[in-house]
Amino acid sequence: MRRASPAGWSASSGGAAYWWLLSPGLLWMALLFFLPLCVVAVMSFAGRGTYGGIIWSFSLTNYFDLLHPLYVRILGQSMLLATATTLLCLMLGFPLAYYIARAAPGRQQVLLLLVMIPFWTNFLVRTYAWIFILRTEGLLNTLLIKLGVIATPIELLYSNTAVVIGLVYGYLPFMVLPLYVSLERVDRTIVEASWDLYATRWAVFRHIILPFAKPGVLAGCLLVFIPSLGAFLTPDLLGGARSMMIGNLIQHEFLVARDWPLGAAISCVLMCVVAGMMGWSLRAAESLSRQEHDS
Amino acid sequence: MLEQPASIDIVSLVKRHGATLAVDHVSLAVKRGEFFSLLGPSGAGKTSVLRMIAGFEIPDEGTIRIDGRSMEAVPPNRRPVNLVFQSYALFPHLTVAENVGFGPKMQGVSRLEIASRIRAALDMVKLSSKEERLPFQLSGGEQQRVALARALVNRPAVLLLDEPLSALDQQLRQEMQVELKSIQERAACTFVCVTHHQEEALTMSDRVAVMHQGRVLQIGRPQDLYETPASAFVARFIGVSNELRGVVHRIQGERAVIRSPGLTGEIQINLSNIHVREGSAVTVMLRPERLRLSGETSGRNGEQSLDGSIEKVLYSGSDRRYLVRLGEGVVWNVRVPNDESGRVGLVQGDAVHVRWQTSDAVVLEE
Repeated sequence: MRRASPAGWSASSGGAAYWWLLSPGLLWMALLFFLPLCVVAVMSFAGRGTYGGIIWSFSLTNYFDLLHPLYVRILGQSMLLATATTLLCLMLGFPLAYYIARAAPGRQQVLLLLVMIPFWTNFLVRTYAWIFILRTEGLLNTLLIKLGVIATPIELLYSNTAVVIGLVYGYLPFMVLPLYVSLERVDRTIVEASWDLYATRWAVFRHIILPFAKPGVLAGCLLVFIPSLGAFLTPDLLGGARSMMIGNLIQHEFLVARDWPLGAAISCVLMCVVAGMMGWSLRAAESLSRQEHDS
Repeated sequence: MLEQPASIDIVSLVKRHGATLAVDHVSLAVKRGEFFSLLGPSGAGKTSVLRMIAGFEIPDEGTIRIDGRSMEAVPPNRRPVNLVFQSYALFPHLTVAENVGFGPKMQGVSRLEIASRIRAALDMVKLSSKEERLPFQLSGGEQQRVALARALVNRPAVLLLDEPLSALDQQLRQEMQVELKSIQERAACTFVCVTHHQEEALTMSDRVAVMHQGRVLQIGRPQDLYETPASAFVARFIGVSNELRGVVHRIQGERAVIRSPGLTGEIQINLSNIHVREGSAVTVMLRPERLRLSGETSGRNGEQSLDGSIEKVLYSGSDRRYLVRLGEGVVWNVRVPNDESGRVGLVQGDAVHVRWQTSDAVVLEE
């Protein structure tokens, strides 16, 4: 007879109940994630028919087409904007997360709620709001002219700057939350102890707070970088013709140019880039922590 | 001989937390090389005093001098003191050696010098074999030693200890009391220790300041506090004390006769240390181990005696404690050493005489 212990639920036991409980999730992932992914991967090697149809064949033409300078520039620009967004989120999010982690427990809950409140409103609506703020006769320009800071309105909307502003705004909570979780674990007495042991404020940050924050920094950066890289809505609404990102390119190929195989190939490249970055950053984090230990 | 400045000189220190006075005009001087304890119940303000010496709290009034130098506006990282935290506050991501080497590293000591200092500090606390461990791999007692080494490695003018032994179990605690004292002597360093544990304070300290509600009630050597407490609070807080409230009935030369409402008999007290008049209210205090129980009515010369009956016998191995009822609402604690095997002792209900040397009584005027 099997014991009714928690160990009875382990994968190795392979009981019927185990698979029954797992099956809805597995089915969901298989049908709605893995299968479409396979379709996209196969499609990326297919050819395009004259009227937008798909000719199921096998060639690397789509991938060679992607080497065109125009596509390389868009991929490079996407990486640049996503990197800028991530760094800005880190710079803005770190002090904020630290402040929340150091606040009194009751206040922490309120502050975390405030960080998450924007999610209550539709992202599309919030992005439209940025158009009203950034456009030539918008809130920001009007205010700056009234204050006499500038004489003529500055062109903010439909630029890379606007895209980064929109992305930073949208993804800042994804940086703040993991940072908060890691910084919240820093015991106040440990900070005091390092201060007592002659550490300057910078040294406290460098030797005590930063090592604790590292997993949060890594998680936050991934959570911001990955969706930023594939962003579609924000560059579509706030970016100009020159601010096209890879997400817009995919949308364009699928819906406007009706070249599904090329769109699929771009999707696959984006996926590989993201997977590569994740693998690289995970390895970097590992070796970083090992180095820390050896020194 | 040249007069050396005190290691720590605190004058009229005040700290307010909102409307309450956490530290109420505390003044004290700690001598160089002394083991000094701040003793008191929780909320007495002793930790506040310690944190102000370390620089983590800013005094509202008063001054702190360390080795003659004023600590006003000096941040913790530039004070010549190191604190051993109650929770140890070891850096969890650093090894034992890195923890101990943190202070010297921050001060810019050379690598070679740091290595030899780490070794010396770990030797001093007998933890040389655990250099490469991480804090979570150590026992509570070992973590305590790392915390000590991490502070001592900096050769501070004063080492501050916040409830250093409170996280240890009873056995280890008693071992560490002895150990801490000998480390202090080896390091030839001034120790200031905060504790609420009176036995700990008495065992380790050269001098103790008893604190209560933000004020220092008495400063003295352990034996002074125990033998001649300046107040009922000190007497009660340090050791067990039997009390008798009474009124001076009459004065006979060097002695006064005391009567107490709950008692039938009367006792005499010495008047050498106290000035009372007839009718003064006094509290007479006696330590349990200074009392004797006997069946004989007449005592020896210079002894006082009260009649009572045994209410309870508590056997604790090394001695027996008898709770003796002397009268209405007066129950005394008498400790009799278990120094004779096979002795039956007294049992509940026995009528006894409680005796003591007149000079052993501490008398406080109310």
